[in-house]
Amino acid sequence: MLNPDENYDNPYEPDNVYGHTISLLDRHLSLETTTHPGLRVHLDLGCGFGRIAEAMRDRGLHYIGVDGSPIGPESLRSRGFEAHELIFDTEERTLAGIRAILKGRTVDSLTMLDTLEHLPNGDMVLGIIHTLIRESNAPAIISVPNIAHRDIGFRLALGRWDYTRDGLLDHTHTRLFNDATMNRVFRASGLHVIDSNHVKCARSDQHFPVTLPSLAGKSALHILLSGLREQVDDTGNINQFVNMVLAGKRELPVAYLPDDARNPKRPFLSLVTRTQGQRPHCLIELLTALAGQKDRDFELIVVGHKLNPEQVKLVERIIDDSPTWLRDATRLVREDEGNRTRPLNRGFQEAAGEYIAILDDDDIPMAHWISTFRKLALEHPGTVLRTIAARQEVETVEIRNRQGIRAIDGLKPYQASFDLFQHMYSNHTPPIALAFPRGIYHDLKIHFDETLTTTEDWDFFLRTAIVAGVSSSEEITSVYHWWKPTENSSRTVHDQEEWDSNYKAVTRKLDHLSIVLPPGSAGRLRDLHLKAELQDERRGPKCVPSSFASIPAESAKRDALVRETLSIISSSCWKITAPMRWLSKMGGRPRPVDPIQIVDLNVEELAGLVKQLRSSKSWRITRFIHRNEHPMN
Amino acid sequence: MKMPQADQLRTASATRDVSVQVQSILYMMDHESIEHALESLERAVDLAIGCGACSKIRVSYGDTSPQRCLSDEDLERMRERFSYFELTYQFFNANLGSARGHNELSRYADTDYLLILNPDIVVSPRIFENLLEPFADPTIGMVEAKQLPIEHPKDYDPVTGETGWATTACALTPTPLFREIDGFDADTFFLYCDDVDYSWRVREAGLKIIYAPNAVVFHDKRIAPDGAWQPSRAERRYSAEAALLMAHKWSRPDIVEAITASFRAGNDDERAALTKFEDMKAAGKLPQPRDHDNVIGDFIEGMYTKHRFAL
Repeated sequence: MLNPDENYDNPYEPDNVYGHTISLLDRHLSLETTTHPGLRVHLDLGCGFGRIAEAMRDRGLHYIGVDGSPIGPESLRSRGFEAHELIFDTEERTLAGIRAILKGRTVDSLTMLDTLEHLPNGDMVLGIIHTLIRESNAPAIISVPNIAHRDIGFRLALGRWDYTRDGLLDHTHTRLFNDATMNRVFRASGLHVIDSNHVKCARSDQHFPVTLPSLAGKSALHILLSGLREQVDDTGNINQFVNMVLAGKRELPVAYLPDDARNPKRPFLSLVTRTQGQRPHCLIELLTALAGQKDRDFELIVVGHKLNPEQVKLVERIIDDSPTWLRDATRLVREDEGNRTRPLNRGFQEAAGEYIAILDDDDIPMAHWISTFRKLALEHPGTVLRTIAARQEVETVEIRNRQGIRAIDGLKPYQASFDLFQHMYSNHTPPIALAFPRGIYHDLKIHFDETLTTTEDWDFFLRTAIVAGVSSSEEITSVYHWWKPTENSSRTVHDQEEWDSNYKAVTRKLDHLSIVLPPGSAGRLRDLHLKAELQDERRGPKCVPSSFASIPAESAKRDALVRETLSIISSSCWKITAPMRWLSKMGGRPRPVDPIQIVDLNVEELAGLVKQLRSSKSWRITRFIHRNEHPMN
Repeated sequence: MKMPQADQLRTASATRDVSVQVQSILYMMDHESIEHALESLERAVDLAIGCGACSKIRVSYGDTSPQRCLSDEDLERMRERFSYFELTYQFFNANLGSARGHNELSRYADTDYLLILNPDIVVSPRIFENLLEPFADPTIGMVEAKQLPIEHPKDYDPVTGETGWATTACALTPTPLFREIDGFDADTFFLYCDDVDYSWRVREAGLKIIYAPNAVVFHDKRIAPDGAWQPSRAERRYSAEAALLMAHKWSRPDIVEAITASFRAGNDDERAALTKFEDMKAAGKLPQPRDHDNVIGDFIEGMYTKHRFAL
């Protein structure tokens, strides 16, 4: 579509699409200045003012510009270049028109820069390009603007979408491209990308208004969005894709996402099981427990890590022993590189399920393990799903030369409620209790950190939890085996120094991230802060904030009661009567209050406590002192 | 007591001409759960016969439900689907309880072994090999599988596997032995402790009970939020009743007395159990006490053998 308001006469610059195009050609063509100019032909479709023509001539190419508007070709001809007007309407007329221009000359290279997005029939024109360059096995360079530039995405996140005279959202664009759609269009046209030299631009022409929180460079929202966007891929700051292609076979039947690819049929859950083939009896237990699942909508990916040929056979035999339906749902993939974290990335990469869970070869899921995840997923789609695991200490026994697992202690459930802040300090959720939404790994590209040799699951859980949130069920759905210290396990294979180092790496990484906190976090933070204050209070001088102006009435009332309690028990009159209370305690009367527990009390409990303190003998007999300490009383 | 099965079993094992009747008592079970269990069982049968551990396996159901769990059509479909073993079905038309139901099913067994199995249990693929293997030792009278996900806490020797008694959620015992010691004591036990009693009589016959941690089965059991076992109402009721009967039968009047005192002030289930016991006593229906020297029966902290941990 032609633009009546813009003639696109942009100068040649090394760092714009023209310079990038020439650099790309330089990489692939022997373009030394030749003494026989005009022998090699460069065809520039949608040439505009053809500001690459001079650079082409400098490289000994005969430049031919073709454009639908007369302005550009006129300019080119005035600069001594061959240029023609041609409207790309039907395939037949367009190809015939170009052949007429070429007059039997072979195309040695071709460009179509920032043009495809204006064409209502772009696929047809790409087909013509395919025909032309295939005849001489010539490369073509095609550039298009990037609709997935973060400026566009971050604006759209807040509902902003503005076409402009020109630029990324030129009002005459008829089709929009990101990296994936560009490639899909190429593949449907039989064009194969062999090299790229994209134009990057951190601040595009869509970077407005500058104080929009999602765009403003130092805003918390922008930092959060940028961090996520950069994690996904490296196209967030690409202004124009500049790709060199060659003609080949058509790889896709259509240039758009087919219907069946929108929501492909997936198992509900992919299970990733790491095994080193050293505990076959554990793997047998695991597979038997999976055979007992109420919900069978899962696939099992057994990642054999550094297995020797005998171990491969052993694991294959164990899988092959399974009942038919389970065997059909299971596949062994081998990973021969990396530490214990690598198989997780390999397994997650292979996973086809809507959710993905880690199920190590010594874990035991209960019959409702998967069905509980499904229930959570229906209620809280897209969150990290958390159930409860019960830890059980076990050891290996060998009876009549056959190994088995022996529980040596009872079942100890992990904490039922999920507390993100507590998890930031230490992990209270073994991997078997979690299922991660597929998008976290495959779309958001949060992967396991392979520099970690331990706590890789904790690190991954935290990084996903702070983005996707966590939904919890209080059902105990699995048994997490905790190997006796004499057995080989990650607890014994890695020394304390290594654990400490990994711990620091995880927390350091977390400290650099912007995080999304779930509702209720503010109150939790206040409580934690108050607790810290109370502890400080015990150690040193009081530190009571001066204002509650921004606190809602109920919270303010509660905080006021906490502070009132604190004021009483930290007052000098309360302290001087301590021996009296000590005597009462010896006499069997309960201690009235533990300062650290104050913040856990609700408003009613706090009010009762304050009343109890004020009516206490200690307080009443020192009334004359605390009247002076607290004139408001 | 003579042990007719030992030589016979050695011979059977050596030639691998071993046959097993898998028997389960149904009580108001849905056929989906039964089929799920059969899928794993079929694979285990396939492997056991394929590797020569067994020559023939039959699956035998006894249905104690008020109405049939499996119709003729269900059975026909299942027989067509699971062709690796013979499937028999008997509708008792009465709630016989598990002990009497198993005794009934065993009457038709022409196999070397009986595998007493809960119908909803999912077996591991090599279950037959692993349960049969210990019988190479002629002093073994019963082998018990390990249950997942909740392992039974009773103690066993970590080297020999020997244990005080075997649960019959999944346990293998020679058919001749089962008949020799008159199977389960169905006159005394309706639902619980029939397996403890049977185990002790196996030991009384001079044979050992082996726990095989490598022979695993999956039994859908859940636990309470605090990690404790969650007994069903039936489990509470019938295990209370069985506690009195076990103490009486295995010559522990002191324990009968203690339980009686406790149950008298206990909950509904315990008082009902005590009433039943006293009624049986009045009617002269209590079993004859045995093991007068208390050589076999273990009553340790309310359990029938030492436990490794509390559950």
